[in-house]
Amino acid sequence: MMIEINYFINVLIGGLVVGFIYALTALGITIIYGILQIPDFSHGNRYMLGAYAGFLAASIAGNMLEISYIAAILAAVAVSALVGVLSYLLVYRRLLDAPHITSFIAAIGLLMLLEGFALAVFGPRYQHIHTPFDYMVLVGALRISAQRLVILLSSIATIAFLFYFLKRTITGIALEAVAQSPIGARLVGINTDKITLIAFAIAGALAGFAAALIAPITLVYPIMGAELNLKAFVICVVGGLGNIPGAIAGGLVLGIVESIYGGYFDIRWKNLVAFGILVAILILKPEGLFGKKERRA
Amino acid sequence: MNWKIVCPTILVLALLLPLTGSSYAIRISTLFIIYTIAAMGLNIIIGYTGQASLTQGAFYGLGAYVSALLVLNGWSFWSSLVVAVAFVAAVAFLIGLMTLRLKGAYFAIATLLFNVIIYEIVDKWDEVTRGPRGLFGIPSPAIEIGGVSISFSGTQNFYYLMLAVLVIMTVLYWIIIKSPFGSIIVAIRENELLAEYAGVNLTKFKVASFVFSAIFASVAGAFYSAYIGSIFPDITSFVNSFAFLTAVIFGGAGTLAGPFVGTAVVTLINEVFFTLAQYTVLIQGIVFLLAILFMPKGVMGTYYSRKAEKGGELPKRAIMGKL
Repeated sequence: MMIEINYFINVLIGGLVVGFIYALTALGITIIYGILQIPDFSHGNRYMLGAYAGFLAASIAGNMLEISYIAAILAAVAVSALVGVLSYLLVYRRLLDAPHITSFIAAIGLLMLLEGFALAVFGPRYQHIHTPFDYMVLVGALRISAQRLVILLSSIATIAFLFYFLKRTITGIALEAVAQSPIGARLVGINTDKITLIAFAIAGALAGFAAALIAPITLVYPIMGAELNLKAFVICVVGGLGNIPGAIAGGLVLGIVESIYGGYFDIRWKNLVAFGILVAILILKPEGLFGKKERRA
Repeated sequence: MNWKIVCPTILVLALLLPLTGSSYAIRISTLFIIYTIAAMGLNIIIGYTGQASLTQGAFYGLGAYVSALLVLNGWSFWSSLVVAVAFVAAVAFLIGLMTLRLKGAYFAIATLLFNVIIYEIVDKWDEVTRGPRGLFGIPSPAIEIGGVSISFSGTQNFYYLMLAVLVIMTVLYWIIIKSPFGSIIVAIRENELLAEYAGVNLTKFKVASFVFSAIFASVAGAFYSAYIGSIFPDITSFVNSFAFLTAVIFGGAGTLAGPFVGTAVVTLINEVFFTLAQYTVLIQGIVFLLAILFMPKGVMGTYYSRKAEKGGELPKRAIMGKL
């Protein structure tokens, strides 16, 4: 009986780890949507490029695992943020006056371009990022991988920091103001263009951080972004696009459901079940589980 | 451009193409025709009804799979084609009913999810579909007229078969767009609320055009499987949906000739970069993004806009505002 409970807790922790990665990525999509009302479908590939930047930085930084892993995290965050900023400057800013569906289609183009870039430069091979936390920790009678604990703790810290930033700093409050009413924000003298840039940078940084955290476990490969993207995206829709707590809750729930399903049932149908549930929610409650009733329009 | 001259000229040139003796040109042209049929269908739902569907690749792949499975189980190609089209139309009807009350990007995301779900089923249900091992040895279609049997196994025969199919599908496409049905879906695209107040049953017409688009995709898919002779689950992936979308957007959504022009470009890219397969996605992405940024109405849409600026007339169903 003891063993079964241990197994369950391990499955649960696995779900939380994946769930936090989903949440960090979904947060970026939701923040961008809040500001521009654009469902930024290329977001997952910022995560992927961040992972590659981390891989490159780690291989340059040398053999000291601690140093190379920190370098990997910093590079991933920086590059993902940069890709986010560039996507806004080069693509979305040009389409501000166009209907939102044009931006959505442009995002698909960006998704293809970024993935094609990674495929052309790095090839389809799997790459490793090594972590200094490559050992097991004994918690009670439970053996947990240290990397998983690192992911849990740093994700929680990041999300707490994000909330502090949004609620307690001038820039964060300005960001919320733009999300609520771009015209109103401009009237009180907020530079909406600058705030939008900051939003893209934050969204990118979150994705890059998530990538650097999970890469030692899942490896780095070109379609890692597309795989995550779809899930992160639907999490946002289910949580209510633009709804920050909704994105976090949605991410954690999907991670746990997937992990429990994979831990106890036929793993073959894992993706089908996940997407089936998501599409059912999308159809039955298009405003999202936590959203207001205006999203259908 | 005077279409009464251009269309027959292209058709005659197409009929004469095998005279060049280049089996490479014939092969590419056959693939071009197959992709064009799927892109035409997508144009009905995206260009004319204004709903950004991302399930076209799955319908294409599903058409290929259903017809190939039936043919491999002893059915004739023609009866399996009919069953495949009917099956995909039924699937599209159900998906359309569920998703078409969602608007804009929500609809796009829901259709993309259904594409992934169809892919997962084809990929994982290997008792029926043989999964990632794929289907091999799909026989070519044949036809029997008055005791004489004609096989379409040769490259050239299949090319003429596809040319005939293309003409039939183009006429069908033309009828759909030019009919009263066409003007109603364009009304929905231009102003949904107004169309609804004018008494249009939105769901009925949106679902109908969604089903039409799926029918075109499944026809294309069924002929693809018969032509290539082997298919894998990848054929249902959303990568194909994006490729058809690129063709429609680049060629000009909401213009009759758009899918032809766009598919020509996409097919060309695929062929030019065939030996450099790792660059295909990158190039496609760049073309796609440049098109949406600098030519959001696509080649044909921009052509008509230029003409309109010089005092010419816009075609009746062209997109008036911005895309």
